[in-house]
Amino acid sequence: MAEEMLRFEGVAKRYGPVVALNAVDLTVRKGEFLTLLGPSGSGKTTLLNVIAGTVAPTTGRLWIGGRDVTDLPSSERRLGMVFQNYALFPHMTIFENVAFPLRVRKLPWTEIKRRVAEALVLVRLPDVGARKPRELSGGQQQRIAIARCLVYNPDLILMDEPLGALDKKLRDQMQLEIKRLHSNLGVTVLYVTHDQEEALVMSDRICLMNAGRIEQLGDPHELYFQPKSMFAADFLGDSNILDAVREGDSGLFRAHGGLAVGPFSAPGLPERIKIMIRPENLTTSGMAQAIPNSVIGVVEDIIFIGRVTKIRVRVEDDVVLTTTRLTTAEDLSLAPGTLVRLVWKSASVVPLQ
Amino acid sequence: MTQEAGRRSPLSVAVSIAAWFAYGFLVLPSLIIIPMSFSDKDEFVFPPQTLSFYLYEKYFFESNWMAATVESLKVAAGTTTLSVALGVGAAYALTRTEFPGKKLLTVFLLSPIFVPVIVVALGLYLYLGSARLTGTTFALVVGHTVVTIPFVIVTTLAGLRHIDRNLEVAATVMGASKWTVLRRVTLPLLRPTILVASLFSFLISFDEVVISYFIANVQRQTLPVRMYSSIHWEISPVLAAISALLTGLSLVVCLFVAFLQKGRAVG
Repeated sequence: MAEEMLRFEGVAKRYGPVVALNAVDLTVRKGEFLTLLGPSGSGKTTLLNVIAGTVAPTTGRLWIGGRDVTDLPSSERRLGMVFQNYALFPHMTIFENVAFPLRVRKLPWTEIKRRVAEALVLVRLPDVGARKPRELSGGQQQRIAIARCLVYNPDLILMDEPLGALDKKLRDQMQLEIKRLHSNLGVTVLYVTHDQEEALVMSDRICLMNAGRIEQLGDPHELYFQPKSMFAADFLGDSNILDAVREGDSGLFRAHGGLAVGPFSAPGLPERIKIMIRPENLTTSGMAQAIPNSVIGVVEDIIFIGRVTKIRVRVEDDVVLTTTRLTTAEDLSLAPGTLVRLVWKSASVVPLQ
Repeated sequence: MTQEAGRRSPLSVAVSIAAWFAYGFLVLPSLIIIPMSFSDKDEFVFPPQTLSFYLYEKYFFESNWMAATVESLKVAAGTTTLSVALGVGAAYALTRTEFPGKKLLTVFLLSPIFVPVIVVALGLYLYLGSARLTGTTFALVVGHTVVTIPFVIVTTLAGLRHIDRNLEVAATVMGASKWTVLRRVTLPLLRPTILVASLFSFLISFDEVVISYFIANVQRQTLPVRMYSSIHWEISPVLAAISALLTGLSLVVCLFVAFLQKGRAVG
């Protein structure tokens, strides 16, 4: 296991009676890209501010690069930070902006010039040094902000929703750009976002946060396919969530709507659980023969979202399952009211605690 | 919009006319001074019979007028320096730090705005008098600073609110000390604000009569005090020339400030 870059132990933050952060333990490895994902108010921004040193934790300690920085001011934590609104100094040129952290460190002038030039090449904007920030587009300004972080090799780079102010297309492009810089340079990044897709695309690991706690920590694949809680299943992607009751001793459960699911290998599941199936793991099939792991329902509506089509199927009076699949021409012939059979692999059913 | 373009109610027309009359009544006396200042007589004449710079020459070449002007310039420069140094510092401390009694201190610092000037003047006279400082440039600077500091603080507070806090956080995270952040980020961004505050401090000090009248003595008078005394003793028409110059100065400063604000809105 790689060297650790950031460690939290029991870090909590209370504002009077309000608990913004509830005893968080977390370790980020050197060179890792870890995303704090969660809705607003989940504590991810508070956690970031505790690391940045702008908010002091009520209890707990944190280490960056092996140093206990709990009581150190922001300026001595060897951090870099990228903000949603770029936070470039409007009164300085791009060169002066990128040179700022180096000048603070009193490096010799020739080295400053060399390193700024290198950083600008890294973000593919080598010729904008003489311009002012307001002369650049939003995407370019954010690249400069990233260059300003890379130029002094901080131990850890914090990114606070850095792509939040950009439009969809630019955001997709910048996601890959940041990913490229991360893998080429081996920097450690702690990224904050509320956009689940962004988290899935970019992260080595995702730390899903809810109500001031860590809900689940794992790689994107794990979070998507093995969510542990209702919250995790619901927050990442679409999901069908059903109540299920234990049936016998074999570990099998019967879900509401008559679906037999399991057996689950997870130990110690209670009598009543919730189960989740991703819409893309449900497929439709002909009515001809009975198949295990299937259920019959009536097509309620068909929603065309371009690349994929979403079909809602009523399998019980109060149970509607959603299935998605790549759009094909024959989907157009599928009409509401048609009887269909929904089929799933037993491994794609996930028990939630 | 439609109200403007279409018919206006008789009441709104009447209000407009009344407002313009009141405005004219207030501004006219200042404007009448200007043609009077180009007279060539040693008395107030309106309208002037011939145009000349006679009164301006008298102002510029009579030593006692120049002495008062120099004193006013010295006091205004000192007041500007002192009130900007203290006021900007106070505003920075009030917005960027937390300490008990902050609200109370804010009210205290701004209190000269609420206290009648004559009361401030009397207080300063008694205080500076007991310290044997009345009649000094220093006393005038101190007196004027009491009045100008609230303006500097209010202007700077507004300016600081316009600065994105993330810029200071960014600089700090990059390793800059508090002092470096202030010197390299906050103050440069505050420059237009400081310029405006300086100009107004200068103007307020240069025009100030009440406090100066209490603190100054016969040997060391500011220009407005000298003018006020002159009304009592000689009624010199040179006053018209000086008034015209002062109006011009105020106008230039205000236009410059308006220009600055516009530039900032665009930038």
